[in-house]
Amino acid sequence: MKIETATVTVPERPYSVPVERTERLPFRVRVVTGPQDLGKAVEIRSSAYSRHVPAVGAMLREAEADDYRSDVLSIFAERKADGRALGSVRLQPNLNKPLRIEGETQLPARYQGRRLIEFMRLGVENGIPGQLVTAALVKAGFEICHAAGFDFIFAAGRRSVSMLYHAMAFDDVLDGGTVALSYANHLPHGIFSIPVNQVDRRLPAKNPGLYAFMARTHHPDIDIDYEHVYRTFS
Amino acid sequence: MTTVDALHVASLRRWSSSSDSTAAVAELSMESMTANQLSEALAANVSRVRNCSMLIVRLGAVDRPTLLATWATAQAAKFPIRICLAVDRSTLATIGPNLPADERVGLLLDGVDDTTPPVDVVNEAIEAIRFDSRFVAKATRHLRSECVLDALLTLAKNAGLATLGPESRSTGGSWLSPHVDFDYVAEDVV
Repeated sequence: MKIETATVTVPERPYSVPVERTERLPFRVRVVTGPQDLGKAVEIRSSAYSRHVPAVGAMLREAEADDYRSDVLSIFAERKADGRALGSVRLQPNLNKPLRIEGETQLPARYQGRRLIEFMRLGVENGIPGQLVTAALVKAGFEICHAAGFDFIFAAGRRSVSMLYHAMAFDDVLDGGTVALSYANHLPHGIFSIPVNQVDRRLPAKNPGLYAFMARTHHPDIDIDYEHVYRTFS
Repeated sequence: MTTVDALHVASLRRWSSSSDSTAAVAELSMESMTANQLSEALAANVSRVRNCSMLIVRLGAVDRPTLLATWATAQAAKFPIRICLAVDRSTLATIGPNLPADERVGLLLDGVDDTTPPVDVVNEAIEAIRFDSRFVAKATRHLRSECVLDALLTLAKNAGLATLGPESRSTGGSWLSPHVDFDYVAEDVV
């Protein structure tokens, strides 16, 4: 559900608790909108992957075909001080094409006919320890998915990053199993998902710090153009 | 003081990126700068910072009214790159929660060392930090100081801050001599 105002479209908040404080960040999170933004997103993605999986990092030095799809949206975090990209993630839905992971494995029946979206190529400078940037990208990504009416969020992760998704109360779709992803150098990945309407219920107990950041704190620097979101995911 | 005078007393220092040879930031250094002098110095240096992504203006220890006046001057200048006002901890303590957010101006915490509390590093008014060169030099000779430097640097990176420090000296990359990786290191005065 969205609320139309004279100048801006404001989506309904996806949380059951009110905002308690406003907090500024040393970076902005926004939608990738042009070649310059995409270049920054690709650069941080490639360098983040290069630290742990150099072969994939090398593969990601150029933008991928999916980056140019009209039904795909990327968001990135950009440092205020110097404009340097600190992290990015691509939100890739099943609206016109199956998810990329559906080309790699059969998803359980409960996902059939639902609006699914995959968080792809999450890359953050300093890796998982880039905590504030990761949290801000997750917050923005989740709020976008809620606003655009998706049912489930998916993510694939190597064992070393799977704890990130466990910490965010994702379900393990393969119950500990892995699949060798062709778009990640055939490395074994777990597949994780969470129902969008469960995030507000699961997160407070599973990860109260992240929930407080997402639900109880207003971040003006997470500045998502929802007109762009609705155009992309209509 | 006229624009010509301001040009004489202001110098630009360049800080180069450790990860991107084409990226740099500039620092405007002046002794006891008034708002008018800052305004003139900014106008006089627009063309010299064209290839930089940020301009640091060192304020040091100033009171809140001076900081706000300088902030307003920097805002009004409509400088083509972001201006970071470099303040020390005593100034940070006077700021309070209501410093205006701005597209063009931000704050850098200057002189970070082993007496700097982590809470100052992650103060939400701060978007960049600069390490004290004496502290960094000490950290290369003293293991506990090195631990503090590493912890503060990691904290800053986790928070998404830009980091500046003296020339990074990699002495091998082992745990006894880790690589200190600032985003920007000092270059020459230009």
